[in-house]
Order: sequence, then structure tokens, then C-alpha cells
Amino acid sequence: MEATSARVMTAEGYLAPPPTPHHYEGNPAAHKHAVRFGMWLFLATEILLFAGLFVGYAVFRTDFPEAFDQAARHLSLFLGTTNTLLLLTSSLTVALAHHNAEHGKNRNAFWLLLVSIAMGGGFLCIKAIEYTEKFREGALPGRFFAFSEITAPGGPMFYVVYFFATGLHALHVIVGMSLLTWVAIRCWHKEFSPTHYAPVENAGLYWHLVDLVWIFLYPLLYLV
Amino acid sequence: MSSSASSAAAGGPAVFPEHHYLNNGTTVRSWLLTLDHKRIALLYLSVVMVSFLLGGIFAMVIRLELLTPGPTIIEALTYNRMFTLHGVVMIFLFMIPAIPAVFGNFFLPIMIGAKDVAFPRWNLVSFYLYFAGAVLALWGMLNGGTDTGWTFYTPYSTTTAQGVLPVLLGVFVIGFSSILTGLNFIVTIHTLRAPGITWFKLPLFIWALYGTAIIQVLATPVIGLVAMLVAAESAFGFGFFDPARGGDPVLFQHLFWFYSHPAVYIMVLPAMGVISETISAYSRKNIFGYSMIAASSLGIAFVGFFAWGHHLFTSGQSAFDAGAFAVISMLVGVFTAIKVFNWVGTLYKGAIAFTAPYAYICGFLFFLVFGGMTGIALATVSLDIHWQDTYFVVAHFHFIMVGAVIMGFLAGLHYWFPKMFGRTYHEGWALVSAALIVLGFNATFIPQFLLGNAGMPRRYYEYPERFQALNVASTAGSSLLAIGFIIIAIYLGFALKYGPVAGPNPWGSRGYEWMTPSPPPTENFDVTPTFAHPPHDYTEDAVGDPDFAHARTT
Amino acid sequence: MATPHAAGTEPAHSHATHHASAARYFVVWIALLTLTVTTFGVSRIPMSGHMHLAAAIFIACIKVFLVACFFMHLWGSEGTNKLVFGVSFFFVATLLFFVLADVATRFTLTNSRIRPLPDIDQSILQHQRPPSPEAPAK
Repeated sequence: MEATSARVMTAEGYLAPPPTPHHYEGNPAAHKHAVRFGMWLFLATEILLFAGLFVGYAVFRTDFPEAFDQAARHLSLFLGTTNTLLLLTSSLTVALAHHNAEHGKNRNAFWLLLVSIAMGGGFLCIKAIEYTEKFREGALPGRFFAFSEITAPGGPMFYVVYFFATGLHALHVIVGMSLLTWVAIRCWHKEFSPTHYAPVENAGLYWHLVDLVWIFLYPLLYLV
Repeated sequence: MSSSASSAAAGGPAVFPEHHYLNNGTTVRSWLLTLDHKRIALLYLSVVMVSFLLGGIFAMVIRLELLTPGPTIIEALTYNRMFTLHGVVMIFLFMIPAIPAVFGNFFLPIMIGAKDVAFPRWNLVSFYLYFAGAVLALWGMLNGGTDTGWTFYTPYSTTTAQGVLPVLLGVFVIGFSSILTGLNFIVTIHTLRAPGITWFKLPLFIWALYGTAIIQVLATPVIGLVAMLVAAESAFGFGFFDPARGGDPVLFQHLFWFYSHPAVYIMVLPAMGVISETISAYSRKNIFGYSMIAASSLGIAFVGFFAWGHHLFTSGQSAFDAGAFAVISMLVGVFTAIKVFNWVGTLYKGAIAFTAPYAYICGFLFFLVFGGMTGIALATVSLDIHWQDTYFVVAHFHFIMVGAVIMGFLAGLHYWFPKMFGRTYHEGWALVSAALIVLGFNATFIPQFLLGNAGMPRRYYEYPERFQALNVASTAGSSLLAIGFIIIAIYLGFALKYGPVAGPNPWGSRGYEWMTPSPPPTENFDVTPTFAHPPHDYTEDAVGDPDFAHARTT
Repeated sequence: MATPHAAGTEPAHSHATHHASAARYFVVWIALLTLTVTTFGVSRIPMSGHMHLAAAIFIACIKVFLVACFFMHLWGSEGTNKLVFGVSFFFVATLLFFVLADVATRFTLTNSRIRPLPDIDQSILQHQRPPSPEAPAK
């Protein structure tokens, strides 16, 4: 966003922060608060976006408890748990990257973000393996459902919720990885400093939100 | 009470400022890529007015078709498309962005003494998302022949051969725009208030926008998800809402109305804010019960979230939920009544200037109370079973969404027109058109209450002969409405170029936005204002103007 | 020009997080991993389905609390951010509550639970994709 060309390298080894926007002139603290607050409001919209799917899960689980029980047992617990651990760990590295960027250690932050992106990629790969398995079995939503091992009525409804919820989540993982890539490049250019690290923080917040959604999806889909 | 333009002339002839936001850059690029909230507001205004024109034309076609019991001017299928077009255009393209995105964008920063909204770039992005969504939805409906009605109820919307995908995508994109506007407003109000403007010195329009923005941020994502689900349903038949596959069509209605009921307050809360501003200015009196009006804005925003189920009384929702939603829906009436009593209390012993905006205020109060009271009646489950999906409901929500919201929009347009463009309009014509609109509106929708009560269902192409008299009355009323709007377009268009120069404060208003020249400079204020007095303060000491001596509050 | 000043708003952002060492993130991470193992373990204990659900949601809430407070720095952040986060969960709960209250108390004849779906003819589905949406339901 900000013009980087005009910014000079300080003695501490990072670029001088960009000027405060004109309408916040003289009050950088308010600007900092505004940027963070805006991100939290955006996260609230994301939470409400997923709310509808959780409501769908709750309704169909109430309607078809046996089918949901059977279907949950047919998900790969190993892959699901691995993915949970991957996402939690990537959240740690993102938090550490934020910590480093805030202290002007841009290179550390860069490598930590790179690791996080790699873990996000790993998550997607595992998800792809799971999806392939579902397609092979015919454990699919609606009229595509052809999975003989689920005998209770309502089996397809589990897979509607499963594919919508994990699909929307995977989309968020992809967006999150793109955001992390964007801030990682800026870390490489040593743009962040103790007074200017909002992009790392906000991209990190987004990534943690992706993590939060998965924290609920994992037990609901795989365990109970 | 003579025209208030005379009070401006008291200090000598008004001079049009040399530098202002309108002439700061005249290239097309300087308008289309502007980051100035005032110019973005005008961009919104232009598209919103085109949408309103389109929606109005669709409405006139519907009314003309219903002039006779049988086929009149269009075929049955075209009729279905017309009311879908009318609903989608009026709600998503006109009503939701009308007041927040136009007047909110223009006046929110000025009213809190800021130079711009918190995120000017996102503000521009929001406009283009709205524009793209509007084009997509319109194209989708005209090209695909969408005939589901604006509610997209399943299972029809997921099984019809008519195209619903582009419209749903358009709604999704417009939703993003709405979220960005709301988010921007909340952050702006929190972080950009000038020194001296504390929370309880915020103008009431800002409080109303704050409540609106909360709804926009929290409710809009749900309709985004619903639009995606319905789109996926109609494309792949997953069965989320299809009972034959174990899905639940009532779940669609729950999710849809979780947004669409609060969306009514996205439309009407800003209109209420405009009324709070104008009623104080035109009665030359301090607003009565400032904190109550402010709190009830948030109250409506909050309670509005818990009322969605009253749209599902006859849809197979459980009796328990129906009862709960009926009671909560009536609470909305409590908060609305608080506002109405405070507005009437403001008028009491005020020095009322009977201007065009004041005429709209009167119309607003009548429509809001009438629409609100029928709303209380409709929230009663047993009565609703009789009225559900009849013209009674149509008349009720048009009283709120057209009556109240358009009155608020027009009151704001006339009140702020001198500030936005630096010129005043012809008061006589304004009063004529206001009278036409208020009368025409009543003539259009009061017959519909009677039709609905007599049992005429909504969205029907044909009707029995005995309903014709009232339908003719309704169509005649809508023609009056149309004439009124055309007159407004003519005299406001004329005033844009040839109207008398307004001066900074033609109304003698005490609102913060009148402390800067008209039209305002790009930076909103030439010199830092001090905001010494609270908003809506017409007491003698604060004004220091003998004209206002009699309007002191006691 | 009016200097924007968050008049009377939140106290300045607490700088507690700035001085905290990175060690706290590792502690939170260990706690999250432990809770993941716990929720997995609890799901293997023989209990009623409702108990499993309650336990899983309870543990998920603890994990969300940890991530939000420490990774997302909500702890020690401006009050407005906490409010936004809390309010969003409140409205999710509202939506869930009323929809579930509806499903749980519906007049039985309108409740899809009592009407089992027609059996699917598996032999058809093994060999070919259904040509139309109605095919498998027949």
C-alpha cells in the first residue's frame, strides 16, 4: 500500500516507517488502533460467515444423529489430527513472526512466515488426500452420494456440511497463505519495525482466525 | 414562517467559495479514482438515483398491470420478473446504500470533525464492489429472467430453470460493499472524533449510522453464505434445503431472515437519524431526550437481530419459536416509540419552519407510526396467519421501507442539498412535490391494506373483479408518487446549476456540518472548529442570535 | 484542521506484549497440543453422544480462548477489540439457539426426522452417475 521507494534504511537495519495518513496526522496511536480495530471487525464478519454452516451442522445432526455418527467414523482420524497439529503449529510460527517483525528482526520473521506457509500447504495437501478418498468412495453430498457403508438416513447431509465447511475453510487457508506470502515479501525487504508492523499483525490475525475455525471443525466433524 | 433562505441573507449576500471539493480536480480520473469521502458519496448518489429510477419504473409497470383483473400490459411470466426486479433493485441497490453510503459517507467525517473516513481506499473499493454487484445482479435478472422474488425462497430458487446464479453472486458482492462501508464507519467513529466531540456530543445521525454499521458488519456475512449455498444448490443439487434429501427449507428462511430482517433496520435507522437531525433544525429547538434517541438507535439495532422469526410464522417453524419471536418483535416497537415520543416532544413549542424537509418529517412520522402499528399487529401470530402473504404485508413493509425510508432520504436530500452543492432549490416546487408524494403514497398503499385484509394475496398476476376498485386507486396513487419524484428531479437538477447561492448555513442549523462553507473544502474545514456546544443546541446563549431567543428550551 | 484524537476513548494499547519474551508462545502452543490430545482422548471414552459433544465444544472453547488471547493478543488489547470478538460469538450463539429451538420443538409432522429417506438403489449408483437430480431418490 504505502510507497516504499521513498523510505530510507535506518541504522537499526529496517526501513523507516511510512508517514501517518493525512487524516490521522499528529495521532499515529489512533491510526494504529484504527487498523487493528478494522481487522477485528473484519474477523467478526468471518465468524458470522461460518456461523451459518455451524447452524446447518447442528440442525442436520439433530435430524440424523446416527448418520452423523457413522459418517464421522469414516473420516480419517489420523489425517484430521495431523492437520490440526499442523495448523496449530503454523499459528505458533505466525505469532513468532509477528513477535520478530515487531522487534525489527525482519529476516527471522521472513523465515518463520515461510515455514507457516509451508505448513498451510501441507494442510491443503492432506485435505486433498482426504477429498480424493471421499470422491473414490462416493461419500459425496446430495445426489452424488453413493457410499454404501452409511446405512442410516441422512448420510448425504453429513457430506454436504463436511464439504461446504472444509471447502470454505480451505479457501480461507489459501487466502491466508497469500496474505502471509505478501507480508513475507515485505519482511524480506525489511519493511517492518517497532512502530510499523500492522500488516504482519493483521495477516497473522487472519491466519489465527483460520485456525480458530478449524479448532471447532476438527472435533465436530472427526470426533463426536 | 418565511423560507429559511432569508436568514442566510441577513449577513449580506452569500458568496460561493472559490475552492471546494467539487472543483478540486475536474478530470474524469479525479472523480473515478477519488479517495475523498464527499466525492465517493456523490458517486454513490448517482448510481443510487439510477437504481431508484429503474426500481420505480418496474413498480409502475407492476401497478399498471394490476389496473385490471386480467392481463393488462405484460404477460404473467414477465410480471413475475418485474416484481423480482423491483424488489432486488429497490432493496439491494437503492435502499440499503441510499442513506448510509450517500449521506453517511458525505457527512459522517464532517460531523465528527475529521478529514476523511478511517480507510479511504476501502471506501472507494466499497463503491466499486457495489457498482459491480449492481451491474451483475441487473444483468443476471434481465438476461436470465429471474422470477423468484427478491427473497429467493427455496425450493423454487434451487429448482427453477431461470438464472439465479448471477443475481446471487451480485447480492454477495454488494454484501461485501455493505460490510466495508459499515466497518469503515465504526472505525471512523471510534478513532477520528475531533477533540471535544465525546460520545455524547455526537450528532444523532452519527448514532443512527453507528447502529446501522453494527448490523451491516454482523448480519451481512450470513446472507453472503446463504447466497453461496443457494447458488451451489441450484447448480449441483446438494440438498441443503431440499427435504427430499434430508435438507431443511425452513433453515434457508432462518438464515435468510437473520440478515434480511436486520436489513430493514439498515434501511430505516439512518432515516431515523436524518429525522433527528432535521426535526431539531426545523423546529429551532434542542432535540428532546438526546440520550434516549441515541440509546434507542442501538436498542433497535440489537433487538432487530432477535426478531427474524416473525417472517416464518406460517412456514413450519415451531410454535415455541413463533411465540418467542412474536414477543421480541414487539420490543422493536418500544424502542421506535421512544424515538417517536422524543421527536414529537422536540416539536412541542418549537418555532417550526414549514419547509419541504419539514413536510417530509410529518410524512415520516405518520408513515412510521402507521407502518409500525400494523407491524405490531402482524407480529401477533394468530393475526399474521390471516395476513401472511397478502397485500396487507406488502402495504405494511412499504409504509416502513418506502414511507419512512424515502421520507427520510428526501428530507435529508433537501436539508443537505445546499451543503453538498452550495445552492438552494425552489422552495415552492419542493413543497408541491412533497405534498404530492405524501398524498400519493397514502393513496397507493392504504388501499393495499384493505385489499390484503380482504384476502388478496401478494405476487398474483390476476385477481377477482371485486378487488378492482381498490387496485385502481392504488395505481392512481402511484402515478401521483411518480409525478412528485419527476418534479423533484427537475427542480433539483435546475438548482444544481442555477439555484441561488446558499451560503454556509441557510437553515440557521446548529449541526456541526454547517460550520464549514457550502460546498465544503476538500479538507472539510478551513479552520479547526471548536465544537463548543453540543449538537442540536438551539439555546439562546449558544446561538447568540435574537432570532432564536424564543426557541430556548426550558 | 482538527487533529484526530480518539477523544476519551481507549487507554493506549498495553505494551505488555511488546516486552514478553517469545517463550510464552511456546507455552501456549504446548497447551494447545495437549488440549488436542485431550479432546481426542475424551472422544474415545464411552459416554453418551451429548456428553461427547459438550466435552468437545468445551475443550474447543478453551483452545479458542488461548489462541485469541495470546496468539492474537486480545489479552491486553483495546477493549473495543475484545467487545467485537465477544459480540460476534454472542450473535453466532443467538442464531444457533433460535434455529435449534425451532428444530427441537417443531410439531412432529413437520419435522424431517420422522420421515426416513427412501432407500437408494446402490446397484444403479455403482455403475453410472445419475443423469438427473431426481434419479437417486426414486
